[in-house]
Amino acid sequence: MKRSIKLIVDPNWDEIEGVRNESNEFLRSHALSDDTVYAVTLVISELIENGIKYGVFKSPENKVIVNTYIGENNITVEVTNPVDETTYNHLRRLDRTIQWIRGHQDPFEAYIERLREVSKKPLHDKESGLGLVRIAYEGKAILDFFLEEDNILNVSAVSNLE
Amino acid sequence: MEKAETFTSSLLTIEVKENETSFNIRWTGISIEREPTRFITPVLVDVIKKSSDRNKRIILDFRELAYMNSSTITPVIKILERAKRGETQIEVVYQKSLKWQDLIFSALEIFQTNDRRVEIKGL
Repeated sequence: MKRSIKLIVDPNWDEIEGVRNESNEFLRSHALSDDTVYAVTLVISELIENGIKYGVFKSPENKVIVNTYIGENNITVEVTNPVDETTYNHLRRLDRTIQWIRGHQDPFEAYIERLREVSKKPLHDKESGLGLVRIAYEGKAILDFFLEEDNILNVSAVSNLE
Repeated sequence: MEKAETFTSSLLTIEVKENETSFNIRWTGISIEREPTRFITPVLVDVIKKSSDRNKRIILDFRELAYMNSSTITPVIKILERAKRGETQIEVVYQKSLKWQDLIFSALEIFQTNDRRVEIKGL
């Protein structure tokens, strides 16, 4: 049975539920526990949301690509999307956030700190700022990213199989 | 007598039921909208005002919610932070046996008050 799945997605928020459902089905077909299926689906969800929010889609060929691999001991989710110089601030923030999360011994501490910070912001402030730290805490995943050729951002999350 | 109002946005439904002592806000479906704050915040702010006027407790019941994205958690924690600093009586109820709910909602105990005026309850 194939232990990986690749989903090529239009950068449209309505596509997210379909990705969640397909990913969920794929994970369940590998007899993973409910908790693992939920956690990895959450990781995929949050990463694809960011891909759509912060990606730059200048032509219909530009997509968000979600790759999920089930290894012997871990599961890797990679989400790629095009970016350009207008999103470099976001990339810097992404880098800072990932480093900040890594600076905590326990991702739970990072999550609590971010909850406190976000809870004090104005009610109508749209920004969440919780997605990545949620991936680390609930998804128990290690985050990383790099910029591929042609300005393709690759964000990955690796979680151990329990 | 119970009064009920239902609010739906995409795949999320919020049912607000008022009884003699409380406003019960039951969340069902999944919340994955890009800006759920636009939908959720006015509902919660309205209930907070009414609960204050009528001296009733607010119960946010998430037990039947299947998933919420991080943008959904945001208005909820802002309301809890304001409740903690103010006088609103508010209770968050979640299903402890669901690991994801336990992870998200137990963390909200940082907003709990000593007198349980703001309370986070895993059932």
